[in-house]
Amino acid sequence: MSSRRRSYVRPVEVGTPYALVVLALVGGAITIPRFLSSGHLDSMSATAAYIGIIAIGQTIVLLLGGIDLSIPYVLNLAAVLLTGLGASGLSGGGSLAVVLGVGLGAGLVNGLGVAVLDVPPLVMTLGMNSVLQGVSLMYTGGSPVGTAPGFVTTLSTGVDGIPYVDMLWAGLVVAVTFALVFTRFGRSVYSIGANRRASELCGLPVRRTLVVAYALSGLSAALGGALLAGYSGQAYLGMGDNYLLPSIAVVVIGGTSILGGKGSYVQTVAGAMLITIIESALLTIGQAGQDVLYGSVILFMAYFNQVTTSASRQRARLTWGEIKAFRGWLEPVPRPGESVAPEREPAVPS
Amino acid sequence: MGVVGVAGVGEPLPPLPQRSGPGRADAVVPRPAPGSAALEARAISKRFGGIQALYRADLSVAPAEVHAVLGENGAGKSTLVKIVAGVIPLDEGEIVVGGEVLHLASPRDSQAAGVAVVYQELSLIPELSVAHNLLLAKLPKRAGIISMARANRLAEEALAALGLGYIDPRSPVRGLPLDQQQMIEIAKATMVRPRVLVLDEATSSLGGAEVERLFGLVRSLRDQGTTVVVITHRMGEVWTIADAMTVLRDGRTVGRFPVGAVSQNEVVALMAGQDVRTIFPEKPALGAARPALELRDVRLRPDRPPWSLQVRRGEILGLGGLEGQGQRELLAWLYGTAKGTGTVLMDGRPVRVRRPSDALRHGIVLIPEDRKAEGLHLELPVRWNLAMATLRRRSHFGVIRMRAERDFADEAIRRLKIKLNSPFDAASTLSGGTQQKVVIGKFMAREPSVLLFVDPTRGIDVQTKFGFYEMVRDLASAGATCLLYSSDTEELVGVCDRVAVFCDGVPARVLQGEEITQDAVVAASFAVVEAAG
Repeated sequence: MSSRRRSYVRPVEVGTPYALVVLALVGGAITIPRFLSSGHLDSMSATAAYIGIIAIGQTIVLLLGGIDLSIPYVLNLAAVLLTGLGASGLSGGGSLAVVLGVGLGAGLVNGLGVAVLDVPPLVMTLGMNSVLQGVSLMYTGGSPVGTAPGFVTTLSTGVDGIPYVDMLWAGLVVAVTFALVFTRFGRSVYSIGANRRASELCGLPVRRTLVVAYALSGLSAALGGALLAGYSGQAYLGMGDNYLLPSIAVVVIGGTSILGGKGSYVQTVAGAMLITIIESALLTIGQAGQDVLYGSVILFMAYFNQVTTSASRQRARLTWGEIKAFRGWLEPVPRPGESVAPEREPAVPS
Repeated sequence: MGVVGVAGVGEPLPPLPQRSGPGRADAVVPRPAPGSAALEARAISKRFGGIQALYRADLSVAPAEVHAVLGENGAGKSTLVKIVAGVIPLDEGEIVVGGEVLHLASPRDSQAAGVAVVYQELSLIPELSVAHNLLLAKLPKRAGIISMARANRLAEEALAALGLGYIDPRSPVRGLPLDQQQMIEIAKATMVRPRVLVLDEATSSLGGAEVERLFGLVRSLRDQGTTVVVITHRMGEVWTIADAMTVLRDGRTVGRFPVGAVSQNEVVALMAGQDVRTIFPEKPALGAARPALELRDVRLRPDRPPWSLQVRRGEILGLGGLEGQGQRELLAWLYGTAKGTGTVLMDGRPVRVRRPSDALRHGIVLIPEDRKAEGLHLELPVRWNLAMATLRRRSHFGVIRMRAERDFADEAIRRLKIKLNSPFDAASTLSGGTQQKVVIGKFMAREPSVLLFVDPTRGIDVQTKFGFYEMVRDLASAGATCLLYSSDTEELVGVCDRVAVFCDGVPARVLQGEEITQDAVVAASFAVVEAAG
């Protein structure tokens, strides 16, 4: 403890979630046959990639002390637009561009609402989610049409065992980490999360940073939606519902503070892996066992984060936000194409 | 832009005297006989990581005595208080209260032994009323339901007994001025009738009149048999209020004297480990320099007449007067964080400042009063904190040049003599005065031409304080224009070329040259209040 610190990164904070990933893999390998088979590993890494990509924005927004609750319907609108625009005759590339633009735009509006109008992020993004839910319903008329462009499906599912989505994710991990660690934008994100008032007083572009962060969150959610549509080939309403709380949970399980100012995307990556592995391992032990074990891991993580951070943060109580996220962890992360059954069956057109 | 010729950060910081060599006058007076002391700390040692905060420190306070604990920043005063309060555990030694050795596992244990502590930081709940805060632990109930009427009455009585009858127990704490909040904090601590009351820098946010009232309160508590331990940086206060004092240096007790047995200069020397200059830097004659900063038709409060003021290049203008007369508002308005109307001209050209980034662009910096809430990012590394106001300067297309940042921060740490383990330590791990150095270092890196100081030496030790005065004077001599608000009249008199005494948002009198004396400033503060009233 008394050794001189050489960097801002505390190895224990980044290392712990990864150690747990290894532990979970070993545990899975011992108890479940063929757990480490290449097929299963591929499937797990793809699942982790989707939630990991969706959580990019949430990581950044949580780091600066905000929260983005509009992820479900940004994602959902992205998915139905991707398939729908294709059906209306737009090229695959064009559809994807529109989809990402819409995600960016929704995030931008969130950011402007939070930064300029000073709407609390919770209210702003929740309202946005509701608006986009309506927009998705209007656009689809209740029943999404069309299929995802071929290249998006290829990207999502891979070809000949080449996991494009994992490669995309790896690239994004490098890019996001670079942005957070080495750019003024990243530094501003940490600073605003740690102390917004002091950040304003020393001239940091607080509003701009907020706007950019929420815009990026919209963008990453839209990208996630496109990839999920690509995975299943189709889009349906409600497909984003089960991604809201997991997008927060993977960030917090990685050790990023829900209060802002502390954490990293690298930790979120471990959180995404961990939650996917546990989810996958627990498929075989039934719902009851799943709940117990799942909850235990989360409690351990929460306790551990508390122990490692309370000394510096001097804040030992759970906040409302943390409790909220906590409840989210108890809901399973959907696996694309499997457990994300739509809650409401879209009306089947005759 | 009239930029001060400051290379990097704080070039003109005067060298601080080395903290080496044994202190003179280690003539420790005999302690009270063991067991007779009201509060005794015996050979307390405490280590934080690589830093030995206390090493076999002793403190012995006789019953019904006002005892001052003195020391520089980082001497271990706060650590000692926290140990006595049971907030942090000690490594070695023992705490004895009323002849009994205490085993302090938590603040509760210390409270049970009759020790009440008032900290530098306020612990009141801003949304609740004064009465609610005072009686928080045991609100009066009627049929199981809290009776606020009774609470208000009880609080009213308690406040009146302490000479604080002018505070309305119904008003929410949030709306009260900082000094009244501090008085309530102390009132709250005395509600439990403690045997030993510890005031940790309790006067640092109070102005002259409030300090007097507080001292009256302390004396009456002492006369009723309460033992009071006062932790303070203000040397003058010790001679006013204390019966005896203990001096700490580098975590050790280096002296214990009855007040009157030593002179202030001897104590300062003992605290520092050697002689320290406690004279204010000389005020140079200011020529007929053109105004660098001109304020025209300013209204800080809409119902008051507009006023104008000019500040010359190289001038230090003090903002005096009673607390809350608009001094802070003026500085905040100039920095773009408070409302007001009027024109600001710098070097004859009008400037518009709507937010701090505008001010910074025009070469105006504000050293905030509340370093924890406004000056620092406590959880972030010291290096990041230092670099925060000048990120753009060391980045290329938005990418921070890490090596340049490291060099910059290392240089700042070296020049400002910031004591730390690693530049990646969180700013929260530094002591108060060291934190203030980080704040100043951060803003000096902007090479400002106008500096706004909001009560900058609050809670800073004597040595750092005088170093700070010299720094401000050097900056002014290099061409900076300084506006200094201070609640310490001695500081205004010693440092400033002119002092504007504020009343209800207006500089009602501007004193200059020989006119500036403590008496004149105080008289002006009250005179203008009367005139306006």
